[in-house]
Amino acid sequence: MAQPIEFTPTPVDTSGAARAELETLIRTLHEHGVLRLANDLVATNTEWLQILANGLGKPGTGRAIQNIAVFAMLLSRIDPTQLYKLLSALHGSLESVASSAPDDTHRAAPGILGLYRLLKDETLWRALAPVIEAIRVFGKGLDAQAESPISAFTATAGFAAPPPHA
Amino acid sequence: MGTDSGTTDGESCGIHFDGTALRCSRGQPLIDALQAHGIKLPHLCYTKAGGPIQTCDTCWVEVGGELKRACTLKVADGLEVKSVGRATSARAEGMNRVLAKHELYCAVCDNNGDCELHNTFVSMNLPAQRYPFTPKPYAKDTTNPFYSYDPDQCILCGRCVEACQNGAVNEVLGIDWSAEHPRVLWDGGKPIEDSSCVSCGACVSACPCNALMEKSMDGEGGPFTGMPQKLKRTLIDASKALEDTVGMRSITAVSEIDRTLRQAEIKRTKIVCNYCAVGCTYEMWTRGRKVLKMQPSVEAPANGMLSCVKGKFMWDFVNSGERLTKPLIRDHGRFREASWDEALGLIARRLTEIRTQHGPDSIGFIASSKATDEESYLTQKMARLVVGTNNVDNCSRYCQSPATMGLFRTVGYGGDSGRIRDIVHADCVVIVGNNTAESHPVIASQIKQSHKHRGQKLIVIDPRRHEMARRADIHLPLVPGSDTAILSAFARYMFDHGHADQAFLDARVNGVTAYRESLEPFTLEFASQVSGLPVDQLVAAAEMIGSAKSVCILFAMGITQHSHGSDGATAISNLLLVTGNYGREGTGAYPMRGHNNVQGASDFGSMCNIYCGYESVTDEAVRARWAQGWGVAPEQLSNRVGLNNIQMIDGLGTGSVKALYIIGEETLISDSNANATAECLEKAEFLVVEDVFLSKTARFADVVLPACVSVEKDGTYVNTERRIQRSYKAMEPLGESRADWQILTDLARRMGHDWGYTHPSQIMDEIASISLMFKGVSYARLEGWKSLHWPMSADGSTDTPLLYTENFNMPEGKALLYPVQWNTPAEAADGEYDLYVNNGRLLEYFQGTNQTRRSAESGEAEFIEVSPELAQARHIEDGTWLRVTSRRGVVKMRAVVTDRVSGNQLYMSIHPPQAEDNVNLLTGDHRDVDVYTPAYKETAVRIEVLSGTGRKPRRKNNFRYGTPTPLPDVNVAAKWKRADYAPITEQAPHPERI
Ligand code: SF4
Ligand code: SF4
Ligand code: SF4
Ligand code: FES
Repeated sequence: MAQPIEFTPTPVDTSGAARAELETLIRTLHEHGVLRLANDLVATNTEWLQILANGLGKPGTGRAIQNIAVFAMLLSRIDPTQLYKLLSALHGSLESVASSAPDDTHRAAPGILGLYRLLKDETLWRALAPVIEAIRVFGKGLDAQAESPISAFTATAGFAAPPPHA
Repeated sequence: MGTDSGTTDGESCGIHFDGTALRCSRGQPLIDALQAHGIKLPHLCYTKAGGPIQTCDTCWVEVGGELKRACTLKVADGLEVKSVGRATSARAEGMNRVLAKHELYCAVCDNNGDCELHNTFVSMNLPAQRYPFTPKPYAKDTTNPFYSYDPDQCILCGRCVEACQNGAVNEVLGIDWSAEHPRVLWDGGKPIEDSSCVSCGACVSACPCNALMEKSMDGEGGPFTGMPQKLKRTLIDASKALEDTVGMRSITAVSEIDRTLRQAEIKRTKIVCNYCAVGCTYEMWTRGRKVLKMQPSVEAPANGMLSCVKGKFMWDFVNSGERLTKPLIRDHGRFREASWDEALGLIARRLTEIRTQHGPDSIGFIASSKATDEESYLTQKMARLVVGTNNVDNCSRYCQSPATMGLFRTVGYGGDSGRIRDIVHADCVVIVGNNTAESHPVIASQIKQSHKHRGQKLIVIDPRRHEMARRADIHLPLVPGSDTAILSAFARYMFDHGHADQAFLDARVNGVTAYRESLEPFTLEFASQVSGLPVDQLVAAAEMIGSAKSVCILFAMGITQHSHGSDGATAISNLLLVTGNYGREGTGAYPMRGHNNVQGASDFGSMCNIYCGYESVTDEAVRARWAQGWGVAPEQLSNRVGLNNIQMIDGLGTGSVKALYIIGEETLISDSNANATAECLEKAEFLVVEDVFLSKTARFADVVLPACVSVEKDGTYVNTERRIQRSYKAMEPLGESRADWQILTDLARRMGHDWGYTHPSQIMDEIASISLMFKGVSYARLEGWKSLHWPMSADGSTDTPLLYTENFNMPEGKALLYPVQWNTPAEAADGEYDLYVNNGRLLEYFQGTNQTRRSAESGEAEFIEVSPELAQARHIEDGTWLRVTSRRGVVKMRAVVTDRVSGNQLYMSIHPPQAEDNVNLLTGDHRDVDVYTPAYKETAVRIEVLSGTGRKPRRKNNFRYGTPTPLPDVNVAAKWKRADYAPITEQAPHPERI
């Protein structure tokens, strides 16, 4: 006669099969002191991640990341040859400024008459024209509606569909 | 332009896509046709399973100068499709509108990796999100135990609605497009837990994003998804700000990296569901032992994208702490853990001793209908070859043997005549004694689809008014046990009213005259008298069957578990023969098998009278072939029919059987007259039980062996369609548990037979080399989603999805009309036991609940259904405690008053949480006279109302009390009529300025 009997099995850890490898890893990490650091980090994981996330969420940090990103984007869009040309020219002009000897005639104020003469100097105007145009465009750009940079990729001009709800 | 533009070639025809000529199948949906050529046109609401819903507007193409939704287009001769230019802009606009409804936080989203929304917008390479995400004024609904719905993530594609309304046809979901902020609604606007949702999960599988998600995925999807919500929120906001600057591409690059990281960790394994015999297949997503989710596939032959609550969600038993992980040996009245060596050594020694002392027939084996085909084969090989007895059987004895007998008598194969597809395509489906919606839910869904959309007629013959009965065109709530009378009366009606298929009978059927004569007593009046149904109702049903072009009859335990169950099954087959409903698409007999491998357990030989492939043990030529295959002399194999399950248990009681080896069978719960079964088990001289848990039966054992679960091993299973499917190992066995095939192989070696199998494929190769029926089977032919319907040709190149197209598996290839009589049930209500208790399955449980009770709501399976009439007469209300007494035993249950039952009929589930709740304490020893199946459905009882009312056995928000909201479709036209919907007809520019 075999009466029914109960038995409660000991639950098996179901969290993973690579236990042996894990043990080796733990030993190595312990020997190198990494474990203690990791322990600290894991024990406080949500706190330090939250701190990090809060940092990321701060307007200053956000702006910094965005500015870096804008630079990155712009840099990625500039033709390297042109950038090289530009930087070389800039470098050359800076060098010429640094190396040119002081010239008293040029340092003297033009005076009213001199100014009048300068206004009529064709060569000077030709040289200044692009700079003036650049300033004009810059001024117009500053007047334009401030938008988040990305909207420049997706102009809505000419598109009539209203924002969807349905 | 290709030269084949506009030309057709049989089924194939030529189209042009962006100027490239492609050959496609005429009529094929364009999106699928392009996919076949490796062209992925963006789309979201369209799926192969659900078709075009037209809600997402992400699939625009240009045809003939007009923008069209590609999902609505089908391949036609000369179709010219342009996907660039305007169409690209229109698709971008559609996607931008979609993204305004869904907050993108992919790297911290559990769904990334399987998110169609993510993958689609990444493939579209959108530079930025045009419209900002606007939250919806609704909270996330987490009230369902298995899944959640987040309106803020919902893109209103309607795929879930389509899946629920027209796939699973549970008709719960809808979208109210007239609402200010449309969202998906359950029963028109209830919390999920209060709705009629049956948690089938079809909507969750259909959702292209994370709006509907399995709770098992919560915090588990990826390396960053386990963070607390607050932290995730901060990171999401930070990344949103960054996205404003850098655009979507940089952000999606991060989510793409995350997706790739996840792929390295997550394993996807094709498995066969180990609950019922529909044979659904899934991709099981796991990380280590963690089951992340079960994802159905359009490739899955039986279920496609459908699922039920068990297969989709109930897998927590795999990692249950209650699982057995070490062999147990009974030692001085307690179990102690032992090594495999000790346990198997003990079994080998005891079985050898008992065989020597009492002969091989003093030992018996009960095979598992949940184990694989290969394991069934090894169980019978162990019995026949190693022990030398044919005492081997499986649980089909408890349920399906009468069905098999009915089919053997008339048409020759013990299996479904065709596929689920045939049931779907039948003109008329008749369901007899089967609550398909709860016991075979995924087949029920496919019938509901045909009934809802294809005009299929549905007749249900069942005492209970269950879901299928409520949906039926005609429900015949007969007096239990009168099925044979009704079915035979229908057969007579067909002859008498010109519905018999005379040409079919003349050409393909024997025994017509004798059968027709045997129908003499079966007038409709007689059927009406014994069934309690009015004659005109019977006529209506007979006319519906007789005038249908094709008829399938589905049946299950309501027919088989009677003292003349084999006759009931025979009567079904007779009726199909008389009306010519065999051998054509949409026809045939469908015994709905119960366990996932009850078909395979019998097919592969775990029966007391046949070898693998239904070859008789008394046939000398058969014995010689198997002996040769196994390398022994024929005399070493017994040529006497062995004992079946029932006889083996009885034999323990009488002492003729000394030792029993039970694999995965909960005999104590499943066998009738549980008190008597317990007494027999107690008397076993030596009892071995192999199981996953310490089942109620295992508590009687001398040695308990820990078996692993189906997803921890490779193997094949046969579903109710005779479809053989491969299941792959998703994870290693837990602890020291082992696959049944490994246990049997080890034990055989210790008993002198070194089989040497190292993988189940070798077992299948052996089967194919000896059996006639399975000659063409090999693992290679069952690779991935492939499957085979037995019987196959010897080279496996053709299988038989539909039986009897040319011949029946009978002498001369002709079917036989087999006369049956109607007999009164062996036990019926009388003066002392005045009520009748029926029993059956519930959707959310399985059998003895060893697997399901952890997931299912506890306590919802212990109840007895009482009709409103009886409740009124006996002053019973919901929750009233009743003492239910039969001639064998007593159970105490709380009442559920419901019109699912009528008059003096009661109903209990077969899923007792405790042994003392078991309906089989009431059932008796009366059995089918031909095959021994207990007549579970012939049980008379009386009730006593006990004082005091307990808590209601069913929560008032049980899905059975919900009110579904049937809809024909998602009704996208209502969306287009909204004032805020602007049709996408213009080219949408999105110039890149920087
Ligand atoms: S019944 Fe529930 S789980 Fe199934 S599709 Fe409908 S809403 Fe989804
Ligand atoms: S919940 Fe439904 S409507 Fe919403 S996204 Fe998922 S499938 Fe589409
Ligand atoms: S219907 Fe059956 S086979 Fe399919 S998932 Fe449900 S239990 Fe599994
Ligand atoms: S896939 Fe065509 S409209 Fe959604």
